[in-house]
Amino acid sequence: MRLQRLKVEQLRQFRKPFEIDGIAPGLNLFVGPNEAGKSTLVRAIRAAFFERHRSSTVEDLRPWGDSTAAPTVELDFMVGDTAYRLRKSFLQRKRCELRHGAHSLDGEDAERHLASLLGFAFPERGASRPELWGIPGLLWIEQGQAQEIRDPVRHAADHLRTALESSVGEVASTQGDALIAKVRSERERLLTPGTGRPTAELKKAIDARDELQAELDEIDARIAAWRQQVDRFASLKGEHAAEAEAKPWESLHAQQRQAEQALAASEALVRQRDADTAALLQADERVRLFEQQLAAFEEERRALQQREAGVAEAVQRLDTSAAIEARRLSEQAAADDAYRAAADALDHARQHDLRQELALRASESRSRIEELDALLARCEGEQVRIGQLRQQAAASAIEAADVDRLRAQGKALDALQVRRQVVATRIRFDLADGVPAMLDGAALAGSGERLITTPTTIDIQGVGRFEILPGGDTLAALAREEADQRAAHDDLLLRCAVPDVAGAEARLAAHRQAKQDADLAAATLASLAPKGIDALQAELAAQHARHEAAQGRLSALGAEGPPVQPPWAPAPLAEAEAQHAAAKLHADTIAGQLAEAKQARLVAHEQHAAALREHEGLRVRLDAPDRHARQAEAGRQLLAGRAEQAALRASIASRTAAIDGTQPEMLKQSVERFQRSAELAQHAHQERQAQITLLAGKLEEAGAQGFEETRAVLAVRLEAATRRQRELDLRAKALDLLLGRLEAKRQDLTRRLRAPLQVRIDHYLRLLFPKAALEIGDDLLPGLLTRPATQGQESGAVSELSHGAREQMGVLTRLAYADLLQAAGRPTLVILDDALVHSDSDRLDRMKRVLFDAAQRHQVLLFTCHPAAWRDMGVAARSIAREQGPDAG
Amino acid sequence: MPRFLHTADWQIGRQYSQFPQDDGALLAEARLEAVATLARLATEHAVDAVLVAGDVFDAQAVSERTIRRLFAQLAGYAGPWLMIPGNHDAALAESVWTCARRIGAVPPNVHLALEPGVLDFSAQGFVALAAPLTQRHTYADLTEWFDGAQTPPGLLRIGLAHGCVQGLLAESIDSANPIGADRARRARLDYLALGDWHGCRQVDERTWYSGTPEADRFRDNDPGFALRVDIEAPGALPVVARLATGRYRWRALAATLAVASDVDQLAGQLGAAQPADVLSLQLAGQVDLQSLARLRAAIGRAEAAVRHLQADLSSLQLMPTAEDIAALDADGYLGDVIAELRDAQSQGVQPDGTRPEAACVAAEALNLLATLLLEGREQAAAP
Repeated sequence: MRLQRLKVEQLRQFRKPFEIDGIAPGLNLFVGPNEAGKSTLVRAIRAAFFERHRSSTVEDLRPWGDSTAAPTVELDFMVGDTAYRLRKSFLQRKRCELRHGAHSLDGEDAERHLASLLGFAFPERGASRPELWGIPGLLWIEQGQAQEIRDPVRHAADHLRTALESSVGEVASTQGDALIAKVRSERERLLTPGTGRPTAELKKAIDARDELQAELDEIDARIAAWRQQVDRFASLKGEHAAEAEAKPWESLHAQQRQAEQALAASEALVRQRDADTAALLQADERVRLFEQQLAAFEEERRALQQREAGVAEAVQRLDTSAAIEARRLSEQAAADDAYRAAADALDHARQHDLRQELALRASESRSRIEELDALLARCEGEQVRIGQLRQQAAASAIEAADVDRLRAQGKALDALQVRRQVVATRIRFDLADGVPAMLDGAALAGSGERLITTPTTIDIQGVGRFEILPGGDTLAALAREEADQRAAHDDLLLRCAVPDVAGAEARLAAHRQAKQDADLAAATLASLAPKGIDALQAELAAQHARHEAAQGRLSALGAEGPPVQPPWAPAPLAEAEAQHAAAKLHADTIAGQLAEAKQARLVAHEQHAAALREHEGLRVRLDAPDRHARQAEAGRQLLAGRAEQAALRASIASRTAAIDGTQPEMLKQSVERFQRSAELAQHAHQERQAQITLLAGKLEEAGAQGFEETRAVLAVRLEAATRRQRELDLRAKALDLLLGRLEAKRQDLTRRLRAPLQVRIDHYLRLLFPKAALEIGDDLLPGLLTRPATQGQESGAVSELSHGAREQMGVLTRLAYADLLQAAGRPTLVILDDALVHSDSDRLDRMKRVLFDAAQRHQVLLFTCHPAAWRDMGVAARSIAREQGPDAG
Repeated sequence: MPRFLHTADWQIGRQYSQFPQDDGALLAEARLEAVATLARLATEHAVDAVLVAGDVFDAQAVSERTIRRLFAQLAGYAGPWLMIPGNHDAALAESVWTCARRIGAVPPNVHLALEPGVLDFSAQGFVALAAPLTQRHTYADLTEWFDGAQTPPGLLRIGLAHGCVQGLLAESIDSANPIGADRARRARLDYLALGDWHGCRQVDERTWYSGTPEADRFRDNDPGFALRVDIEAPGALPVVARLATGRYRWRALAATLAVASDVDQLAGQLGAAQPADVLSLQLAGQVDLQSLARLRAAIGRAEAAVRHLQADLSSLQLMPTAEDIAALDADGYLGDVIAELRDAQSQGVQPDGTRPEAACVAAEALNLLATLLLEGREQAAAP
């Protein structure tokens, strides 16, 4: 398609006719400032094609404020070799004329022809819409829309696809898409779109089938149970009848009775044995009594024998004790004699001993008296010396403290003397011979020196008197102090009766010596007579007294008599005492033994009498007249008792054996067992009867429900539900298969159709990005752009590129579509209204190459307000403003 | 000259799972009507007794209403009805019979032989030797005792039994409820009335299966009759006549389609169907799209004409021709898909005609595609 002339009139700011003629086949550049009318011209071209001339929704075409305007567009263009002239007026004068060659079309006919010629559609009513714009909608890029590619491509998809098909020489299915949509919607009525799970009708059918199946299973279970019950009912009835016939409990009862009889017999035996046992007990008792009786008789006999022996023994004992007594009497006389002899010897020994002791005591006293006399003499000497020494000490007595004080006073006086001499006025004189001079009355002569401490007068005869007054208070005070000290010193000396300090020292030494000597003498005395001289004298007196007493007793004792038993030497006292004690003890022992012997004889006598009495008593009893008869009777009875015992024991043993043979416990158990078995059998019989009745009731009830019939009905419904489920399932699977196949085919086809488009895209892309690749998707839209990067390659979706790049890709792909459409014989016209304004100069340069290349095949109308940017396109820019001429607006 | 009506296998309470519910209900109802027909025929032909050889009921646990309705159908004949239980309604300890008696549904002229034994009908000139089933299945010949059963001379000996005559029917070998092959001769029976086999069938000169009075399956074995039996005197051969009692004709049609004219032939057969027909149509082979359309039309017409028609086309393959495809405007890849599906539906078909699921699905998909395309074409043509 080639636009040759454009004329507008009464259209927005173009109130007057405005015409652009001689539009070139290739690139055309229209420039003008903002508001100059570039976009109005674009709008005019679009309106001429897209808007119905009868449309009332094109008010925007009306010049401002002009209600009578009839906006008109007139276009001359070529399609192939056919020249067209289109004239379209809106609003006030709604008209559309299309002339091509000799043909002329008016109104809607003209519009329809246009639409099919260029590949777009008209709306049923109202303003045109993008989805109807088709090929022009894709190639006529509105201001600022170059980057938007998705919707325009979609709206032109059919045309593009047809163009692609023609280029590939292959036909896509005309009904394909509609059919796929239909199959998909049918499929989605049975399966979920994504995972293909059953849904809606199919799910309902499956659920219905499962539900019925469950119901059927349940009723089948009930039928099976019922059938089992029927079988059980039959078997129970059979068993019951058989048992009613056989009556097993009766035989059990008979067995029970038999066991009971056997048990009764056994129990009788037990009773008899019990009686025997009781009798045996009595017999045992009797035997025991008789045995006791006989034993008693025997015991008495033995006791008499014992008594006889006892009497003999008593006699014996009596004799023995009398003999002992006699012997004891003779022993006592001997012991008495020995005792008296021992007593005499003791007396004698005691006198001898006393004499010796007195003599010893007298000699001792004598020697002590001599010692005491000597001692007393020394003590008296010492005493006298002590008296003398003490006298000496008293005479030289002086207090040591006084001596110390005297010593101190002397030293103080010496010190005062020195100080007075220091302070004193010194008078040195050297007198001429013969001049009498007097100092304080004492004459002076020759030369010398005097110390003056007190007012002193010097009289020199012939000369007069000098009164010397030693200077100052010090001297006077010292003189006073010395006088005081001196007075005290002299006083103390006086009191101590010593001439001077040395005398006092000597006296103190003499005193200490005398006192020391006195103390030594006193100590000596104390050692001689620790208790004093008086004590010594008292002891002396006592010793004298003792000596005299001993002498007195000795003389009183007289001379010692002759020894009592001359052959023996006088025994020592201790021996004599021991012999005396032994003799006394012996005599006492003998006396005791004698008494015991007397006592023993008396006891023996008494025992003998008692033994005689007991023996007599027992003998009388044994000699009783019926005793023998009784004893014989008892012996007989014992024998009878023993015989009875033996008989009873034999009887018990035999009965016990009999009882053990019958096993009474077993019999008891048997009775119980048979009884219980019979009861159980009867009970079971009754129980079964009850069961039968119960089961009959249940079966009646169940039978009345007719559930086998219900089951049959249910089976019919299940069959139907299963059938429906299978049909739907098959349908779902078939739809699934169909959809899969169709979509695969279409995809495959699209892939093949895309190839020529890819060739064109690659062609332009190389001009913009050398070595880049742009994928075209199934929807014919640009997808991934891959181009060299600093390292390797980078890929990214076109939709994620920058605005400028997207714009470039938008223009580029549109040009590729244009190539494709042109190849398919479709008219192409490319309009760019202020496009590529976001491109930098480098990219713009490349895009210019792209556009320039495209313009070799297509007519391109480029409207811009930046004439400088497009100066290098090799075509003259046409200024809209200049061409517009004078404008009323 | 005693005359009997011999019937069996009423199968009251039977449901037809293969049919839609309302058709099934009508067919079930027809079984009761057949009993009424029997009563009417018995009266018309003035029989001395009706012999019912087992399987009166289809199940033990049927509803009271069904029991009452069955016995109500007997009102049309006042003479004696002799019934023995079969395997479906065996005389168990608790059975449909005990239930019927308990609810008082059994009329006095109905004689139930729930235990084996001889029933005396000397007034009618015969004794009946009944061999009822008292268990669901037995592997002993219940008629064996007939041989030694003593009956008064001068009276006909009529046997009643339910089961399989040994060695007669292929499928009866080792089957349950056997009946000795020459029981009638050995037991000196004048006639042995048998039940269990649903088709009417003579076993020997004195032994017959009457079959069911109303068909209940598509097996073509002569159902829908009762037998009128005339016996001159004891020892005389019975004269047996078949009386039609069935209402519905059950027929199974099967065809393998190959060429277009096969469809025409089938359409002719279907066109001849009667209102009392219950048809089963089993088709195999292949058809093109146009033939399929004609076939469907013919089936549709027949469905309207007969009681019930069940058509199974699952083994029939749609084989669209090039013309079909062109006619459907199936251009571009649609044509490819059709061709693919056409091939896929034949993949893995067994010699016996069964197809793997994938082939079934492909066939269904092809049908769907054709249908959708046809719809599309009709819609396009409509405006």
